[in-house]
Amino acid sequence: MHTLSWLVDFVGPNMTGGNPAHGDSSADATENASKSRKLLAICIASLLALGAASLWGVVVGAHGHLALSNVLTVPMLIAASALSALPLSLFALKLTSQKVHATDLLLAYTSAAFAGCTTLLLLAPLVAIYQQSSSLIGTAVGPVSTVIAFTVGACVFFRSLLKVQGTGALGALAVPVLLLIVVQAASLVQLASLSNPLFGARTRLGHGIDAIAPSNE
Amino acid sequence: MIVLVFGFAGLALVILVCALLTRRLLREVALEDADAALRSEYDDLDQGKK
Repeated sequence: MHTLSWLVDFVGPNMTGGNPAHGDSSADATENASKSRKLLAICIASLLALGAASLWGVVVGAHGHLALSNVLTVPMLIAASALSALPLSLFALKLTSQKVHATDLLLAYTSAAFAGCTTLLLLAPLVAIYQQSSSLIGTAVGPVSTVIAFTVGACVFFRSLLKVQGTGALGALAVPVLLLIVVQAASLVQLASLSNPLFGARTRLGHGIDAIAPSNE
Repeated sequence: MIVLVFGFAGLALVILVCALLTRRLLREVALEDADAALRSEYDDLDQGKK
């Protein structure tokens, strides 16, 4: 329970995250937290993010009777795209920086995923309502919610990295962070084009890179 | 299709690793917290003596 509140604190706007074992919520820097606590926060954030994504899939898939399929498909898309992006980013981190630990990058990433997936989940009722009732924007509202969640996740990722490393290591972090975001977005879009449609019909984002950047033919 | 199979395998792996690590780390963090609480109590008692 302490770790969950520490995680929520870490995602929040306070620029430091204290160690609840010492009774401080915002006094000490994040580095005071032990490695075990950081790893535990990473695991909890990952599981919560996948759970929230799964619930979002159920709500938005209810329109096209895809709810059961989405329970597994949406977390699979997120986990598989993360697995394709994280090793490359961690390798780039090792090449560019000696000070930044892989645990810190993972903590920033999973807390961002937690924030992004929670945003998805909180937008799900709105998406479901518009999908059921609007022919004008009903098909667009689902992909728009994913773009909003991705943006929130990316912003929280930057802020979490600032909390973990301060502004001093930003130069060394630029390459791994950009790689992580670009590779994850690219693989997410292509995986979505391979899997079953998440909404009633396949959207433009669901056609992968071919629909986003159409060829001249 | 094979990509999706790998994707689902990746999801299963992530969930399994996270669940197992969570179970183990919960115990470790609880021990750390108890240790920190004991140390702070000991420090308080020590300061009271002085």
